[in-house]
Amino acid sequence: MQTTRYLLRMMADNQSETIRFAIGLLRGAAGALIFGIPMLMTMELWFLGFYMPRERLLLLLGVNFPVLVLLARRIGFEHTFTWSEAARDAIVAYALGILTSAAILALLGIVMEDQPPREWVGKIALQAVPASIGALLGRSQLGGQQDDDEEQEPAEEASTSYSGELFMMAVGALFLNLNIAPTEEIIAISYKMTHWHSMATIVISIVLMHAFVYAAQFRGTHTLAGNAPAWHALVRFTLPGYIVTSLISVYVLWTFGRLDDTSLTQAMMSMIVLNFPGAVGAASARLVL
Amino acid sequence: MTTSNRQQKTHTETGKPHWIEWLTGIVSTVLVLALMSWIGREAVLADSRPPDLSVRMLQIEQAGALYRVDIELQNSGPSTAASVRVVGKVTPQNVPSETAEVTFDFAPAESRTKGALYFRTDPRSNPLELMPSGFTEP
Repeated sequence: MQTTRYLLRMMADNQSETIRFAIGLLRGAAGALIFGIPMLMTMELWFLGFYMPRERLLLLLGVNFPVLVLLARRIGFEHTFTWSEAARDAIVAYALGILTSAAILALLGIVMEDQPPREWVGKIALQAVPASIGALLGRSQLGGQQDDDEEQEPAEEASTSYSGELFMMAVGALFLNLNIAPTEEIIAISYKMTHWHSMATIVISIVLMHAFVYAAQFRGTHTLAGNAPAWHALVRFTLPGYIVTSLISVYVLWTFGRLDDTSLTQAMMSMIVLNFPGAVGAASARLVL
Repeated sequence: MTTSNRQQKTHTETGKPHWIEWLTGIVSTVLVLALMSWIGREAVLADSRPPDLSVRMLQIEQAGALYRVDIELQNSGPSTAASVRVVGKVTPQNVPSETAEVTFDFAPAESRTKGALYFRTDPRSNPLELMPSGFTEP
């Protein structure tokens, strides 16, 4: 009698476990869609999918995995995740990114069966990167009512290492940059701007980054402990954040071949243009994640 | 280090940061200032001389029934040119000359861009002439 009851409970638990897993997958796919659609419907990204250098595409796909693991670990932080669970979440998010991209590109007629594999594999692979980040974010940002947290009350206080803060800024910058860098506009804008415009853009990007996190009083806003002067946060967080954003911009521009055969000044101008959305992405990541 | 309060959704930057935070901060400040002074220097020295375009032949290869001439468009001027047209002309003896043209979306300042032209006439055994024929401001 006791055993039967136990077995029945086991079965019920298993079933709810399966349902929860399915719901998790659905949320991931929704996240991949919401965050991925702007890119799935950008022409330049389809073209980049088949003409960008294969080794740079491979590198991007390779870099994406550790980013996903770190991000999964960060998002799962409040549920005291282990690294292996983070790796599992990351690989599932990656798979969801690939499947969602493939499905949408096929739906829109961008991936056709008569195309050579190089073309459709390239298109799907490139789109899978932002879509997989979206899949992970979907699970955390679109997370449902308290259903996920019933096992453990999240710790009231948690601390993030300095490198963790910089990493989150990098992910935010990477995500917005992947959205915008492939478009022709980044290059066109950098040609139209004078040097004075770009000077102003640097200043505005930094001011926005700082204001978003410290002044705008959003949920997730940051403050300084004690009565440290405000410039401490500027030097310790915002300016390093801008440099992190710049590195991400250069990496993304290089990946998409926007820096090839370009003079140093021209490359810097493109970087400054791309830093503008990147800085907004980096600042929001600090608030949201 | 940053401490987060999950109930109020706020984060507090620690008042006693590790020295690495200050080191990163100072290096970053120097880099941002360097970037701004570089751009600032360019802004002060900026000249409005027009683009300086030239076309160079890289190599000629047979491509089926046609000949492909790989070219490189160089802009050594300080301004960027858009919609740059490049015309190539092969002039065989006794036969009318053959022209081919291509448009480059951009020729960025102080940069090089590659492209190609196709001819029916063999440009290896006949005189080949390459020149930019016009551009617009971006």
